[in-house]
Amino acid sequence: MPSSWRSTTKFLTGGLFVAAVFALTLVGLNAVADQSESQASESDPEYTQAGADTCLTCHGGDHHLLQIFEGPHAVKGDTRSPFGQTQCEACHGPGADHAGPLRIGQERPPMPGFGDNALWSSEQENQACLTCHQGSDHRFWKGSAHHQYEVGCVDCHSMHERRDPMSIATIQNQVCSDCHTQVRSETHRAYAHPVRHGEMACTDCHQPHGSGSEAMLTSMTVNQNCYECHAETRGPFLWEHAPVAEDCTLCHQPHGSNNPAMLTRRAPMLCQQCHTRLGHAGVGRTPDDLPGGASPSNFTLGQSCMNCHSQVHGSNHPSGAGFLR
Amino acid sequence: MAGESNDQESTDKKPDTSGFVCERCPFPYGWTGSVLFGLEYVSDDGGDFGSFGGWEEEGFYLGLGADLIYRDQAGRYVDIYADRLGLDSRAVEISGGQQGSYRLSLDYREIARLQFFDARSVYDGAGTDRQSLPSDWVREVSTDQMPVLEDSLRSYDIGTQRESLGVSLDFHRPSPWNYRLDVEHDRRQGTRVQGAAFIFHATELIAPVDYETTRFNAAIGFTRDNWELETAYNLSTFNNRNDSIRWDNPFVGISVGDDRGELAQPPDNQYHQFMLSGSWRHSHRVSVAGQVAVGRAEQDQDFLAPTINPAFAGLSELPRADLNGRVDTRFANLRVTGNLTPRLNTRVQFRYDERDNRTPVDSFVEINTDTYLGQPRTNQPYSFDRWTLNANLNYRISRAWRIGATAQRREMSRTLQEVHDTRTDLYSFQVRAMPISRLNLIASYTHEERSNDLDPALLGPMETPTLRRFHFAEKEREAWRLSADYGITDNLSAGVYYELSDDDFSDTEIGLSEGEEESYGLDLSLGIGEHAVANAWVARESLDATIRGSDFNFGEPWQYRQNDEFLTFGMGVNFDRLPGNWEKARLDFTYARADGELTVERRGAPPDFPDLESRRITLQASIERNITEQLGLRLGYVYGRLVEDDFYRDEVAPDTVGALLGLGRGTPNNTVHVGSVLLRYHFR
Repeated sequence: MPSSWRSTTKFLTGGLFVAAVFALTLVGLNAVADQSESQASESDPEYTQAGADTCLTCHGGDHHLLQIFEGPHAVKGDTRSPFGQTQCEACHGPGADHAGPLRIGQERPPMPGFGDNALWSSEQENQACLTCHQGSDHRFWKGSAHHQYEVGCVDCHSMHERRDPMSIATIQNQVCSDCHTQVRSETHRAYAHPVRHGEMACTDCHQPHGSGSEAMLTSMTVNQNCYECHAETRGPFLWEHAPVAEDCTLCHQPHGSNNPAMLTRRAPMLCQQCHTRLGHAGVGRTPDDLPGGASPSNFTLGQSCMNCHSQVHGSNHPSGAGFLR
Repeated sequence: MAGESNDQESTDKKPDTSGFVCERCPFPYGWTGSVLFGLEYVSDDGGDFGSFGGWEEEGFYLGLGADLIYRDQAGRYVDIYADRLGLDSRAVEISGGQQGSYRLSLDYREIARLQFFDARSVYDGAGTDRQSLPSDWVREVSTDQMPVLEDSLRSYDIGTQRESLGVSLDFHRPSPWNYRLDVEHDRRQGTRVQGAAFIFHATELIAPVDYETTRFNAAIGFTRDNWELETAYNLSTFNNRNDSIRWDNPFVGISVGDDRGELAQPPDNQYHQFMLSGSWRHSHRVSVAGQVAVGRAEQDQDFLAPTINPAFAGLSELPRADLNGRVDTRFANLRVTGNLTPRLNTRVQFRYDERDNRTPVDSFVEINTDTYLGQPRTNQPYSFDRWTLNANLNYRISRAWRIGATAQRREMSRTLQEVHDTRTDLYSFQVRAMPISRLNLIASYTHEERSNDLDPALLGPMETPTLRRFHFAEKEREAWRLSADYGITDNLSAGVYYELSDDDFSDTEIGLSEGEEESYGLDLSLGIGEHAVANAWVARESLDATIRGSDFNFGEPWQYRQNDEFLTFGMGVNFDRLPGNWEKARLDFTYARADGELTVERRGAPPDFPDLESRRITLQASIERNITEQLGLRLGYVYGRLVEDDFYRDEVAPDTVGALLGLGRGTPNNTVHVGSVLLRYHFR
């Protein structure tokens, strides 16, 4: 098949797929109300008569549960807090069935949300949280990778703690690592951001509640993310190194690498992926360049290419076109 | 209106809370939490192990931390969290306010990074912007001939200390409006290694770092039940206290006056951005979220002279006093998600990103490395724009089976490159299954193809015509991922994954031509009774790349192969409670091994490069004991061992390479023990 036909076929296939997905999405705009949801609403149990006092009759001895009273979810003065509303049932849902009297042999019905055998789906439980925690941080939750994988708020957060463990970098990084096992390994590579030290949290770069940018970054692009801490590389410079302005990850592996500065490869190989021009740049280096070799060389040892071309992020020196000044 | 009817329905269902008096609720008004204080001892200098953690040097350190919260009945609160206050890496977060009304927070953080603790330099003023050779220095053409080199060397640590102070204010009035104001000032001071050259003679300098970055963010948002809108302004300014570094040439120069050079340092710059973001939930079926932003980066720091070599004094005229650099940025993100049925989820997402470089173009005289007059050079402000359209569909076939598919197109246009346009198409398929209870399987396959409109003529006469730069070369990528999570029992679960990706740069004869990444791992988690959890994990990764070239464009062909292998293993056990008065015991062990293998193939079959090796072992243990109701004892121990072999630095003394006056930085080989005895006072 001619390559132009192949290309056209792929374009049409992909285009049709995109169009079909978009059309299916928009169909939802005019769809009738979801029967299953309204039925579920109608069958919701009743609230208890005394709220948390009812719950604490049985659960008052649970040290872990009681920690909620030290945290932000149990502030009666805040009408947005669960305890400014329907207390335990603000999150767990109406609990009259759960707390009500049982017939002999009857198993106690579960609470609707959050707990062993809870009735709600992960999506419904998340919705209980989003009732209050809507807004900018959760704008892109719908359709985010975590949403698509049905990650629940409580898979990461603990509402009954006096302080959300996810606010502490070391704990947060462990929680993220439980699923992102490959990234955990990357942070243990020889050169890495101080994630394993707890000096950086995953959320310093990523927005786990969803974002509009790739890889759920907190900023609009990869480079904007990096400039938050490395504004010295932002420029604009008089002499630009085009890949630097385009995407930091072309040369750096932000989760960690086996090379200084988290470079994806060692120089000179890193540089020779793009620079093989006539002269020293195109010469293949060998162990002859090493100590004890025929000619220990500054083209390889030390910082290799960066021994001389040290302004690889760009130079503002009038004579810095070769990144030597 | 669906939204309104839902609101009405929920209002009608609000329960009568008059009986919700919360008599049994144990609200702990006043201070709760604890402070931690005592001593820590670090057994050895171990810059590489202690870097970032604050344990770089041998000696006693004050152990100090706090986790305190004050609350009153009206919802007022103060929250203090402080960690490692006695170390160079420390953090304090203090926030307070009226919950539900406003919040003021202050965040102070220091991060110490010690890169090298064994560097040696001959310069007076090493680590500053003016570096001079000793008065008795004798210049030679090669380092091994420099007579006073050895006697002139002095030891230096190289690293930075980052201090960040952030203040933020949030208002959440009982109205749809909310306001946010954040200011963060970040200062990084210290030193770094920077190469500096006169033609082919290079010197590793200990360059000063004194960077300040200030970020200011202000936002106003409006939130309703099914939509919200926010407008924000972001400002980021960067200030470098060092405009340049001047240093003496330690080598014999080849031109009159090239005995001193000047390197530019990163220029001051600033970035402004306005952003409008919002989301709208039509119903539970369809939601839309998006943001648009326009920004501008500016840089107008005064230019340095083209050279400080007095022999070229007459050529120092510049076309302008500063760059007047300006880059306009424009971004847009839009995502539409739909749940047509409870089984079918869709998502369409569009991203646009533009860098429009409006920096003036001028011709500059180039005095190459302060040594000779080169050809005039014209700056080439680089611009690009790119967009991505992504459509994703997920369908739940049954309770146990789900399938998903993604199609994505990404197009990018660049200026001033041999490739103007690239187009990347990606297709991905995924199956998620739960064939038996407690077993989750995920399998995915991704195919990606990139094409371009390469014009080899734009590579220039000096470049190898068959070079294809990897970031816009034609490429095909195949990627597979398999993962499984299995709850073996109620207390024991296991997870495994395998991932493989293969990059083939089909049109590349010179440059990066192949790449392969493979990784797999196993995770185990075990609950031991009600109060203990143990876990273990192991992962192995392998990264391969092949880079091809030829000496002097059409000369002897060569090929590098780089293989990085990583093995990471960890295990830990965490006891919430123990017999007696002991509690909160934990033990964590990590072993990380990295091996880098470089081979070069060319005529003459040279031997391989030595392997790059890194071995790190970390063991952390701690336990607490209640002495009284208020007072507890915390004992801690950390063992760290780090060994590296890196031929780029090993055995490279300042005079090993004739044309490189190096810093003689070695690789680490050290063991460190850290012990701590701390008392914890509880506010109950």
